[in-house]
Amino acid sequence: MARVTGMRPTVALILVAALQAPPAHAAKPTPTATIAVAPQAAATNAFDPGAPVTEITVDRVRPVHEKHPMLRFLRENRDFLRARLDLLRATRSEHPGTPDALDPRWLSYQAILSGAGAGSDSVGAAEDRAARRTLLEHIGQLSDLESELDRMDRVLDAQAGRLQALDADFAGHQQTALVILLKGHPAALAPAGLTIAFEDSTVLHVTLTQEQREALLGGGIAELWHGFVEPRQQVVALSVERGGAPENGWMTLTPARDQLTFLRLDLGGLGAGGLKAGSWVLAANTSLSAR
Amino acid sequence: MTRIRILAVLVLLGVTRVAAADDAVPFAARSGVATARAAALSWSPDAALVWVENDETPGPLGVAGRWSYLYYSATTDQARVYSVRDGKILAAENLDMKFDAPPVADDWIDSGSALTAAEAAQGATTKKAPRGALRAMVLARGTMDAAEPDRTTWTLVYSTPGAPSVFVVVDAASAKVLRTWRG
Repeated sequence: MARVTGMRPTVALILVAALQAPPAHAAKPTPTATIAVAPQAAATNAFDPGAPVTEITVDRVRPVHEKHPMLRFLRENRDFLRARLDLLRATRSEHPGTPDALDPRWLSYQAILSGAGAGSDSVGAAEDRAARRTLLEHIGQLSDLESELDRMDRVLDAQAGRLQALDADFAGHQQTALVILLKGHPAALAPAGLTIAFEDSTVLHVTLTQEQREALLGGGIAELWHGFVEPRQQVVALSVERGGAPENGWMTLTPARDQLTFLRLDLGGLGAGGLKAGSWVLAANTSLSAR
Repeated sequence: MTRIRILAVLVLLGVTRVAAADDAVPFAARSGVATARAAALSWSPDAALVWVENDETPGPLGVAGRWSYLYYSATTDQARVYSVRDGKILAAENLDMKFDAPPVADDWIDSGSALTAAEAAQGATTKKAPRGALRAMVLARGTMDAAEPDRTTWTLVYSTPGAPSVFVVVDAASAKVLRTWRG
């Protein structure tokens, strides 16, 4: 059950559904526009009130970090290495079709598909046989029917095993991800949109709809983006468009590796005390599944 | 006089503490792969490791305080490097040049084994003509061994001021020294 305290069930379900959707990849940003009007949640963490929220300073100027030299040998020999790569490409094109080692998992998926197909075939055939046998009045054949049902159970067990294997490969591992939430609304001038830029050149342009603005004005929280991010300290640039000159801010954020981090932007102080932001990590034992 | 001595000791202790805090714990190259890979996959799901190089001077056991891991994405035709120190990514940036290198094999020997192999094979030669200090250790595929473009190799570079560098290429699968040359 979703641990969303102090929220209406409908709101909780909307937020849970939004979080359960696969996150957008940083290279292909697809801003989402899920809005949930949840005045009760505005004052605290909407998903895990127990999680400590770290206040993030929004700087007016871009923070300057120390430059660390990397790949000295590669850069010093770039011309030589580029030439070798060109030669390598030419050599490879002369000998095409050189096989690469396959990930054994890809081969196992074919076996899983075959097993699943065979299982459903046998279940179907068993169902046909079971239907015919219901016409028989001979009580001795009930034991056969029971064994068929046992076999169906075994097929179901095998199917569960296959699903577990697929789950372990694809759904059992939380990659480093970030959810950007927006709250607050400056009464004087509503923002037309926001631009969020990451250090890896990913830029998100989010345009707020009228409905979203009204929801924010009512104390709601909007989910702007959910995607994968690099687990390292990085500067995230934020620009709020309000008709005139945009208000810019820079936040230094460190998403935790293999965890879901929330970044909450607060526009409440826009134009006065400046932008505010806070972040927290989804508690490991928090379930997002709604039943 | 006693006060001055105490003060000097305190100052020295302070300097030592600062120096210790600044020193990273040296590690072998493979130890940082998981950290870099976690970031690379968030950058591009088809990111493949194509290059590993020490960013700080390698020690006698083939360990270094910082290693760089270069990933290439065929989808975006871009390369991005992650520099790992103390188990964390210290810096990351897109490579400002095209570098569509083939991915390294999965089963490469670690930097310590590569150094051990190079040192063992070159012991006698080193006595005749010293190779200088170990400056760079590079893991790559195809670029340093033209004869076997599919082979993943470690290349160790030794340098002496005023003399040509010595290159030792070690097979990253078998730990066998393949080539040694000055240049």
